[in-house]
Amino acid sequence: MRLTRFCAFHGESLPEWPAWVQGGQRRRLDVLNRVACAVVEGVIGQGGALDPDTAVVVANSYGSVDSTLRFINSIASFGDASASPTPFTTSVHNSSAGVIGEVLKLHGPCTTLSQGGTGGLAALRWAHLMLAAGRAPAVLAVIGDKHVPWSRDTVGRLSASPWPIGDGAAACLLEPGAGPGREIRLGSHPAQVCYDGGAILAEDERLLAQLATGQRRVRAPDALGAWWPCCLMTAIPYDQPEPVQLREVEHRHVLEMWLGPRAER
Amino acid sequence: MAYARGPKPLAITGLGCVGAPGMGIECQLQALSSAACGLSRRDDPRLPLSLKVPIGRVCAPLPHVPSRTAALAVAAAREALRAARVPADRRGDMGVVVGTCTAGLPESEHEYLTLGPDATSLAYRRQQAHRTTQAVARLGRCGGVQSTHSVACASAAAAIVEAMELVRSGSCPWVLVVGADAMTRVTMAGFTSLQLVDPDGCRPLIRERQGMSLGEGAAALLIEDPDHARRRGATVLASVLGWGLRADGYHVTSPDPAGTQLERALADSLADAGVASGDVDYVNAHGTGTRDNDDCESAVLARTFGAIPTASWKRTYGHTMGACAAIEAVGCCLALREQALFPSAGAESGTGIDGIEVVRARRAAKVDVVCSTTLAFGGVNAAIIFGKAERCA
Repeated sequence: MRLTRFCAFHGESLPEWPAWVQGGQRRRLDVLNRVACAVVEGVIGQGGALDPDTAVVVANSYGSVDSTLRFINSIASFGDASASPTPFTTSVHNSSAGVIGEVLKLHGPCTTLSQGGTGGLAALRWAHLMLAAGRAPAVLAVIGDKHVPWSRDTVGRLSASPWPIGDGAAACLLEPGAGPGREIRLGSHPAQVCYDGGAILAEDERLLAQLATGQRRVRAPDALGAWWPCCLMTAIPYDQPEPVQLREVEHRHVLEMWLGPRAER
Repeated sequence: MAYARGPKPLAITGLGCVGAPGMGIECQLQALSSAACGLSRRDDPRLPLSLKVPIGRVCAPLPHVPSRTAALAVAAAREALRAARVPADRRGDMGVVVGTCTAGLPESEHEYLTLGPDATSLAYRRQQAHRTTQAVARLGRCGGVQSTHSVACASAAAAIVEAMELVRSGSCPWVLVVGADAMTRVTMAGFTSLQLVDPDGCRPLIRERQGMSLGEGAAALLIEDPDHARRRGATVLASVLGWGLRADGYHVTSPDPAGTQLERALADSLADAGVASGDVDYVNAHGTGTRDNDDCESAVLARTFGAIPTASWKRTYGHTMGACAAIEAVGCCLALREQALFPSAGAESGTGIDGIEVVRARRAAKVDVVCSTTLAFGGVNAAIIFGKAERCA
């Protein structure tokens, strides 16, 4: 499996809407949808439209918190029987996958994962399974979260994270076989540098430090200046030529992948 | 797309289920056989609308786990692991893949609506979907791969798909798949605001239908490499043969009325299973009872299978959202075990929808292959093919 196109965005600001998201759609979509569409626009800009049978996997940890909160506030204001249906329809975790499929007319297998700190590499694992089974010509993976002020505050109060609570997303186009791009292998392979998602639990931090013995360790939240559960993919050094080991951890559950050297067209 | 391999059936060696009819597989068999209605109105302050519309609420005692969704998941998982006769100290490489839509939302919405937005509660931490997976893995002592799908009503179908590919690819010899969702105020208010709920309880696949009913529950299936199952002397209960998963690319909430991608998902699942449409004996339809879903789905089923015996079990359980594909997978396995077609609850009277044969009473039949379909918000279409245990011998 190769990573052939990549685009990432992070920070509290909101990116521009891509032109292919029309005015009516923009009104009903939420901030997570907007960030997801923006990074997908970056991927499309690197090589043109996607095959209509491209599979889509989205990974996030908090879901469409903007829509969910707006809908709950609508219940509080107007009562259960009279709440506004608009935010309800985008409150499901998979609304970004649905929106991307709708606007780009993609019909391949699709799913949305919510696997906390291992969500990014879990999405790549799902992509690998789909490509190995011959179920799609390519997989578009969109990995990330987008907070609203309330959820950023709440996660900040509840989390043990030593970093500020942040958000962002990365879009990756994954294709099978050999060719241009960066090869991705499951598991651990030789690399001088290891990127990991950082850990907020002491036992997870110890585990990651042990696994990186002999490697220069880069913690994604250090590179980004903020932490969120699947921040690793937003921080990966896509443009650098060297192979990199990737690691994510969640409650002693480790996922590892290897990002090979970049092969040019 | 050309598939990379030929058919590769997998063994199902453990089943567990909890829903409105009660706890346990034999309880589900009784409910499905008799087309029991699991819906009732309730006086529950956490679900104010349940006074006005009937729901499929679980009343069985549940394990003491902080989130209701996780408690449902753990209850179903425990039954499946017991049935599979796997000692706790031999589950080190067993994967857990969960499908859930609401996860910890029942607790966090309650905190937010009663204590206000400034409350600092652990409920928010438990809301994340993967906490349910962690609870199942930790309490079941399953040490393998973990994955959590949140694909609205197709969450459990997506979980079954990943579990199948994890086993087929050799990444994991066995995977415990769980679909679980507890009732939430958000879900009830959401579907009510969309005017999709039948105030008298759903009657899927019937022309006079007026909408859906909501429910909660969980089901678990242990999906295993047939060689692995044989080596450990497991009893194979049924097999899972193939899957199809396609996106409409049409609208986030409304199914494409043409049903093109549902039809492709069905074709994919049949090709993956290595069976023809004529080999399928029975269909468990998603059949929510809404006008759009049942019209689209029945037309596609008729095009694919002709007038095939079909049932929806949504009146027995309510629409259990992210859990429904797992609960209905259990029902499909029971139909294969019992060699029986279970009826579509609510179809005892009324006119069956065109194109398919709506099963109105339990009857004995040769059942070798069963197809289960699921549609979801996000334009997701899923089809899973199940077969008799002998198919993976």
